[in-house]
Amino acid sequence: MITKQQVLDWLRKSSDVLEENRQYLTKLDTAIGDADHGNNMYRGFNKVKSQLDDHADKDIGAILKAVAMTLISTVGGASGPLYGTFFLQAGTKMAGKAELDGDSLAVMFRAGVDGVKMRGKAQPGDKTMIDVLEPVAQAIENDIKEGKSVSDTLHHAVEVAEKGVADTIPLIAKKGRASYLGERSKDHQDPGATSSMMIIKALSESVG
Amino acid sequence: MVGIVIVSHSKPLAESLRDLALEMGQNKARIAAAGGVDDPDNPVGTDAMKILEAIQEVYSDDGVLVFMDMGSAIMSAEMALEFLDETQRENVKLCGASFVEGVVAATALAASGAEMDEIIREAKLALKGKTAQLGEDDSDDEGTGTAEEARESNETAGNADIKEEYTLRNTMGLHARPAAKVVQTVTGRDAEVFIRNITRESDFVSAKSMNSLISLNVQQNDTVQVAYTGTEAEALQELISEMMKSNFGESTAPAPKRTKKASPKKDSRSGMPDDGVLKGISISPGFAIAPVKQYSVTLPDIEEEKQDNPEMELSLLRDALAEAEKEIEEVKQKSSNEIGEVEAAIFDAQILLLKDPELLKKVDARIAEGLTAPYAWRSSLDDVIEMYEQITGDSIISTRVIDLIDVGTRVLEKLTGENFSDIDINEPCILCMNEISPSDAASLNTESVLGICCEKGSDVSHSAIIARSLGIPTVFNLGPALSEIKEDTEVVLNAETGELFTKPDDTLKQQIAKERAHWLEVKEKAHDGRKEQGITANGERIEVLANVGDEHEINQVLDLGAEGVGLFRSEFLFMERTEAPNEDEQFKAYKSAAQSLGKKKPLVIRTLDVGGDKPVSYISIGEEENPFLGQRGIRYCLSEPEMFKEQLRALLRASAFGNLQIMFPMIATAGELRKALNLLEECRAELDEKGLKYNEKIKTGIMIEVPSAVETLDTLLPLIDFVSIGTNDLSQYMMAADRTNPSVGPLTSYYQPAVLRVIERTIRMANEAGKEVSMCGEMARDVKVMPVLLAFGLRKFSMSAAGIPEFKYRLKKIDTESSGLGELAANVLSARSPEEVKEYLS
Repeated sequence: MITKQQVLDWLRKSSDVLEENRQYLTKLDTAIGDADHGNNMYRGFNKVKSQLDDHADKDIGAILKAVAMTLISTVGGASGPLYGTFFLQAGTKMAGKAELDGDSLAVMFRAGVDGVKMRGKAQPGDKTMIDVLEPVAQAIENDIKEGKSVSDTLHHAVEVAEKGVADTIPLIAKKGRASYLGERSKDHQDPGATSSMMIIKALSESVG
Repeated sequence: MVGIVIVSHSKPLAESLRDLALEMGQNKARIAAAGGVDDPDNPVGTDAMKILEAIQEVYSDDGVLVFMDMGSAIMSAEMALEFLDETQRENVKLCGASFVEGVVAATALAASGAEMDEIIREAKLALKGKTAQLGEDDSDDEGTGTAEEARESNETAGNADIKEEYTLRNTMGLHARPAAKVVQTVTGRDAEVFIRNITRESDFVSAKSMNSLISLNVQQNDTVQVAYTGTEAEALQELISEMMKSNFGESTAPAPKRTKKASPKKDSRSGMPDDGVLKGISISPGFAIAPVKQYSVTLPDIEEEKQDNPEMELSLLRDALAEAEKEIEEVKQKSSNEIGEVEAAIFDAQILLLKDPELLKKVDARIAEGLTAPYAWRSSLDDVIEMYEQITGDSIISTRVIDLIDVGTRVLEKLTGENFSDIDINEPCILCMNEISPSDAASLNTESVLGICCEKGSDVSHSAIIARSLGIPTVFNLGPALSEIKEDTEVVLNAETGELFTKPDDTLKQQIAKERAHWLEVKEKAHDGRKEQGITANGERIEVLANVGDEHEINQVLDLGAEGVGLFRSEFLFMERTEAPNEDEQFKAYKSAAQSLGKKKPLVIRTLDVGGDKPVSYISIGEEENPFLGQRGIRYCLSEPEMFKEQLRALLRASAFGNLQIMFPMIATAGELRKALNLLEECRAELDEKGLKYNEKIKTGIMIEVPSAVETLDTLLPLIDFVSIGTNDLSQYMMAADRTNPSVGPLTSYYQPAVLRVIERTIRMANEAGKEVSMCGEMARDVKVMPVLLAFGLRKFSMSAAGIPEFKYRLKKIDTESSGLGELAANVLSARSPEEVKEYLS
């Protein structure tokens, strides 16, 4: 089970980790993007963090939707609508829930990831956050089906996410600003995939 | 109207693009900018919520078109769409056109009322002009064809595999909209399409050029031949056939005919009423009885003729244009003496029309095509007029049409040596016309023309201004039935009520004859005594001031008997230009006005009063559902403190040169007034610092236009020296009715008991507080209501100067101490209807 408190912790931790890695993400984005990913993510999640107390009496669905709205209007770059869509779709599926069991977790991730794919029109292999999110969603679905605990599932998800990030390094970008670079986008780690991994890690750590 | 939303990573970029586009869309477009994110440190980015708000701001069922700069802008825009409800979402389209060109083209089209699909097509093509100019365009747009090109087109078209004829049934023929459809269909296809107008025996032109298609002058029931060549010829034939046969989805009602004598829009339903009384709007008061003379303003008919010496025709045209310009200059000079410099400036606008590059390009091209100069000129004017007439419901535009006809006729006279326009009247008559042009009005023989009646015409047209200056009883908007009156019928015109009696009986004739005699007598006596001081029968001094819109008018109003200026509308300084006048420019204008009046005569300058009905191109107030309840007057100025302070500093500096006073318009709350006065204080301090002179005891005041100002007058009066009642706006706001809306206009009469009471209260409270009070609306010159205002305690009136002589004349007959006056005031204040008020006044 993931409690509401753990969801709130997740969001706070995400904010903290993105703040810590603000420079790092920006550095990754400088190489193949427009050098704003670290700032954008920090700006969005910092705002999310500042509003968490207001969300205390909401259900998980409502919290995730509120996060979505904040990200959409504060991030500024493409990750705003992308992460916004993730949380919006996830929140819509989790409406009314005070806690999440394994099935809910799988449904939530699938909805969120499908939303991002729809929004960004990216496929695995395009060197984007989908290279982390899609395998993670699949892994969670499989693990839950196999009867793994939520905690174990999330630990596994982090491993999958980390591998996903590493896998983006040799890829040629097909979407976003990095795609302008073509071949030259090779040998760089994708910043969006990296921030996705960090957020998944934050969830795992919050749940324990 | 289709709304436009601009999405950019950069807020200034989005807003500047909006402003640029608005200029092209004549400020009419519904357009909103959604740029940047709300983070002062990193403002670059896009915000789906902002985009959503922008969409909702300009949304209507006509749809919204969203333009985005790049990257996340597109994704954020898509995101925003998801927050719309389904029916709205269907009406919102994201457009992939080039950002700047696309937005500008789309805004102009949207403002003209075009539909979504058309706007999207045009926007996507908007880049073509640039690529073509830079030679990057691989399609061969023909443009307006030269003779050489025409030969080529004819040759290619002649050899075309497929040729088909169509007869166009839609009312407007191949006008701009269907022509655009054809161009869109043909452009980008692997085929050449040429069209010629068989009815008018034209050459073939390329269907890729909008101008060429328009130049075919295809009118209703004309037959065109279309030639198709190339690999996609058949596909295009199918598409174009269908458009032609479906009449481009337009109406096929018969086209209105423009003929020389008949009215331009003869409507069978518009019969003469049985009682023979036509009602219109009074433009210039007075009475007249005389036989009717019918005239009509149209472009003279010119036969289409060919010539084979384009160079000679061109030089004939140049000469005619030069001569026409000289002649208009002469009319202007003559009018300056007779009707005043300001009115005469109208003719400058006509000279500009003569030099319109688009028009001249068209004419030159037609002459080059082998048409004679007169026909080329006439037909090009027709195109422009047609374009204007398609933009319906805009009185400014229709004013332009009459100016175009005026100028156009003059040039045709020079070209052909014939005389089309002179209204040659030497016997007393009432002139009846479809519409009167400014030069006709200015050249009228005022001895013989006893009255002017027009089917159409606007209160604000150039002709109306001239008619008023000439003092000829004039009524406009009498409707098409006017043209049905037989020549030489004796008619009776009451231009006070706006009525034309076409079947007058003897009683009416006698009554109006009496009114006319009286009117003439008063006019003459009033004119003689206009320069005497305003004074009542019992010797009480009444200040009679003028309303002016320009410093150049001041000498003219002084000559009409004004004792100063009670309302100087500063917005005229700001209009008809592309940027706000700076402090020095304003200072010079105010100073010159102050100096023309001398040290004593008051010059009350109202600070900028834009918004509502006074749009200014470079001031972007944004589309407002209800501009009269929106950002106007002081509300706008307070939102632009820097611009406002430029004006205040200019006013202060000019106050060193005369009795200049500052008046703030549209004050609704004490807070607004305090803010305005604080800004004035800041300006004083700034001038002190620079050591610039101003009148330290300068008087400040407010317009009383908003009912809340009357309700809270006790809080406003201590802050100022004077108030001036603006009756036009005050009655509109009191009665919650728009006086330009015919169905509720009568509600805004200042004879309404509510309006009279609020005026009485304002005057009483100001007098009790020892503050000056005046009135500067239309009511101030109404001599019928003047005794009541005197009884209320009003001692200062400001009006359009033409009313001053009669006002002073009537004033001399009134005894403010008579008991009748107090009783009149009491009766009027207790009246229950405007009719009852009028009864007391008669």
